[in-house]
Amino acid sequence: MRTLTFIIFGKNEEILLTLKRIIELTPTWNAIIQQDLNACKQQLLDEPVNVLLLSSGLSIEDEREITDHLSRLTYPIGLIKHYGGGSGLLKNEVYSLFPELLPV
Amino acid sequence: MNRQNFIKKGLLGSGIFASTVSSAGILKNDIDEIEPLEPLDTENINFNSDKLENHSVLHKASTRGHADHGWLVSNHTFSFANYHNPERMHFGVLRVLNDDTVAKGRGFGRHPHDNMEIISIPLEGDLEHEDSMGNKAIIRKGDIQVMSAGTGIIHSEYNKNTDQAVKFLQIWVYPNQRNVSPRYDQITLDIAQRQNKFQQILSPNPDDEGVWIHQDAWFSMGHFDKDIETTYQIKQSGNGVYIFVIKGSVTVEGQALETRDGFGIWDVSEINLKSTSADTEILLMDLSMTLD
Repeated sequence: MRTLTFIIFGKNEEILLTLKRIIELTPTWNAIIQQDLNACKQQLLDEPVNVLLLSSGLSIEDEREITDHLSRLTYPIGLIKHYGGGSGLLKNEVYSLFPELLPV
Repeated sequence: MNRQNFIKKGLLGSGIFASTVSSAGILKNDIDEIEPLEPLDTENINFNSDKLENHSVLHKASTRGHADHGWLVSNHTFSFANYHNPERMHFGVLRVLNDDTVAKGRGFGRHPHDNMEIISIPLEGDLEHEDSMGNKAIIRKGDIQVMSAGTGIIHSEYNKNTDQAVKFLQIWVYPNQRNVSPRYDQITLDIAQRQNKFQQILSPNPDDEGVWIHQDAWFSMGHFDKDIETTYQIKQSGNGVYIFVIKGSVTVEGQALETRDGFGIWDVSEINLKSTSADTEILLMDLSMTLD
């Protein structure tokens, strides 16, 4: 399985921790939690990640600003606007972004 | 995202709101790269109506995703959890239709949700709900439960019964706005009001019949004797209709459906249904085909 690193950006700590736990159930996936916009932007600049996952509680302005920030990065990155808050849709969202990861 | 693209993406499975960004800094959002609408899963559809051809999708019960966790047996009409079928991602804003059976005394422990309108319809048994907003309640057949998960809600759902399984439909609808205030509600309906006709159980309007959600969606249920014909008028121009047969059998615009089959139709203003067996129970979901 391909190694993937996620940044999960959101405000609801319990949901962020749940998403991190679910992501890291896949041995080659890991996740970093960010709750602050500027810290998230800096994290994206400091070290390339594969996916930015937008969780809940963000303002429209925060979602727009962090999305705009992606276009300034010098590496490819996937963006997932997550819905549902738990395990129900997460893997589907990742597989839609990286269909080659779908188990055969 | 335009309407046709959203429908097509649902059928082809790329309707998740995910995109990639290139190193050139260009947002390559594949939502804009869809070819014209094509229905899938059409091998069993009898195109004996102009309304159906190129405007419908059939999901036979036996083709649903299946998960057996022992305490939970679930059939997924659309991709969910470990079931991923790129051809079954959503129908308009309808994202999840799970047909769940929970063993006696067992259930879903405390877990979170966000940004989703979640509707539960009990079919058999008693389901005990508890959430982070202080709600504790039991729902049973005839009740409708709704949660607007919004910025986040934590809840548990357990089978209250010690002598029987609980069966219920779990339905997730994309909200028309992200990060609304979380909300819980449940109502008890007089199921006699759905005998041989449709009874509205959900709408976008707090003052209308049934529960309400943050989406242009209207759900109705009907319980029909054999050979009852009815016409359903679409509530809002541009909406599609997804029909789920809870039990019995029905023809919709001539298309035969049986227990637990699902059938979606769009680009119509009304649909004609005829029950073909006694004790037929139908859930009809009239939904926006676009996500604002």
